[in-house]
Amino acid sequence: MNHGATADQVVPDAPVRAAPRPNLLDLRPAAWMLSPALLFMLAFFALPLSTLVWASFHIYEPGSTVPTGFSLKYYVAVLTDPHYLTIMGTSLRVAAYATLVCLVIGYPVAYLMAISGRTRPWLQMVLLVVVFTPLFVGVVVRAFAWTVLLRSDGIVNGLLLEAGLIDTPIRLLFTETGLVIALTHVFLPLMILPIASVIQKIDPNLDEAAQTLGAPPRTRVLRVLLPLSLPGISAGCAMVFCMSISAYVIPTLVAGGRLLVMPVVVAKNFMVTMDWSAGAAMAMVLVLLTSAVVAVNTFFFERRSRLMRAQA
Amino acid sequence: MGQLTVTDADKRYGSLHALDSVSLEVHEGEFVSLLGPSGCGKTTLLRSLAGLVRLDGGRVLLDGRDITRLPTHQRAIGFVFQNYALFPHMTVAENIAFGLRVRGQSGAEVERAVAQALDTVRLPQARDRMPAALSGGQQQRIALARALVTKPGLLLLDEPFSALDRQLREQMQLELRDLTRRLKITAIFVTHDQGEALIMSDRIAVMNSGRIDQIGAPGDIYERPRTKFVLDFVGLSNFMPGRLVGRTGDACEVDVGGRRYQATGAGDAMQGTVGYAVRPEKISLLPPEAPASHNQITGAIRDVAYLGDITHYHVDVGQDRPFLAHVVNRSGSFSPAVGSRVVLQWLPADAVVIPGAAQ
Repeated sequence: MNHGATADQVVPDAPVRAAPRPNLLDLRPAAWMLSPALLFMLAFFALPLSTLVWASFHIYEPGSTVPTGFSLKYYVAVLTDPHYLTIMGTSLRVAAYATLVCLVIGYPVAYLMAISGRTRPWLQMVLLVVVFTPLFVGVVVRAFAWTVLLRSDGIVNGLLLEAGLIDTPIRLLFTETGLVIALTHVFLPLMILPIASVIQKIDPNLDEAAQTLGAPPRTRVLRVLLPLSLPGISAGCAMVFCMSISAYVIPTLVAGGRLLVMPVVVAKNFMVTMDWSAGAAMAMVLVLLTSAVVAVNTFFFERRSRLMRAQA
Repeated sequence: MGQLTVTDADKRYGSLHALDSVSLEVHEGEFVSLLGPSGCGKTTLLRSLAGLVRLDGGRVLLDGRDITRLPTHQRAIGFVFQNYALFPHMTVAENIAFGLRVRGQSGAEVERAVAQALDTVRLPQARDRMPAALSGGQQQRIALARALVTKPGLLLLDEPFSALDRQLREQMQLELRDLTRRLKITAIFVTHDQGEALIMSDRIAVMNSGRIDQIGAPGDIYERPRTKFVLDFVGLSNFMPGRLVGRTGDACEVDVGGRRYQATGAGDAMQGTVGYAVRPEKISLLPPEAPASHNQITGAIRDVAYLGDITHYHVDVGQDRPFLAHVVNRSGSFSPAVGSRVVLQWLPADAVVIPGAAQ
């Protein structure tokens, strides 16, 4: 109690009010700028996605759009049935390999692109054009090109035979290897660009500081360059992985119907077997998987960059 | 440890001659500043000593060993960058330990050295913090600790304090000076700040267009500049183009537009066209009735700037530029107002004669 003051004499301090809660209807003009995009996303992303969620929990008679009951059996099937597990395994493996190969091929290119900006701008320009141009060619065209290249009598086999690396043509089309090659080619820019942009922002004095402290090249790469380019590596890997595991056109063209990956199976469920619920359940697993990859990536590096900016 | 000899160091960037046959001798434990405007080659010279710039010609010897072609990481040097260049992903302790770990040290040995280095720069409490959580001055002290912990023979500093505010900068200057004296470390310090160079250095090398114009103790550089560039770059001066007309022993006489002024210390090689200069604080301000003497010029006060400890007088003497006289304020000292006629006078020994400087 306040020193001897009776209750009715207590002069209230500045009235204690909860901080004003953000009012969702009190949108400032800046927020309105987003509304076309928000409306679009609502109509063409959130709405279809929620019907997908709905469908994945309900039983449909083939051909009917009216559910006959609630069920978790599709999720159980997708997550336990060996048939589905094999498909998920293939998907995960292919996406992981594509990501790894993109990283191994892409990192040196990204490094060169980033550092050439300082000393040889023309080289950076050339690299940018080389990396970017394929993005302007439709993915169908590029995937189709790979079906030609990877054929038994295609250019890849021809070159390998010519070089004496193989005796008989190897089968690349309709195999995981062929799919990884095509995915790597199509999504490589998504690995290179984020890494290059991160490396470009690393202070060149840091490498020089490490040199003056006696660090040989290998140590400088392992202890300075790589740790500082991790945000780019992680962003690139997340993007390539998510794009690879959800790719539909490329596996369809390169691997035909013979190599089953999740998007191909989802499409088959919806368009061929009319098993909507199973397709929806598998699509949801795919969505959750990619969301998890993005979320982990974001959380981990937000925390890390906050730490590097300042520590409490 | 720390005896440095640079012979005919040469470096070109395209058409720019960044280092034009520079030679320099630095003794053990000496603190030498490279002073000059941006683009004079001082940073290029410093970086070439670290091996961060590859020389086109010339040799660099450290303790008698030719290190001209030695990669940076094999040179036993410490380098402090203008922007600190602390590793942002490592704690302060990890930053300092980096150079020791690279050398294969570990465990308690490293711990001890890091703790000692932090004590040396008086920041033991920063041990486990990230560099970004420190102020600029603290970051630069950590950078210093990191550079010193490996006990380099030669410490190279590239404008390390230019990003700090004035008060902190002055404090850091004294600390660094004290540190290099205590550790008996040879230091080469790049700066464009003449005050900083004068305060800290055993010797200053003033650089201009890829060459060392003059190297000497701070007093020599300020009192006996040998080129117009050094005269202008370090301190203020009243400069008059003239002609050397007479010489007796150390003393000489310079003709400036018909008036004759006396000076001392003109080199033997000097003759003909010369520049005659007097620093503003060497000038005495006298009332117009003062007895006539050598080295006088009369004029009218055009402007007075009172700075507390001293007063700056701008005096119109009928030349293009007004004469500057800086006078210490004492009670009863002559303090003429704007418009007053005054006599300016200086000692021959306080005048500077530089060769060939037709303006």
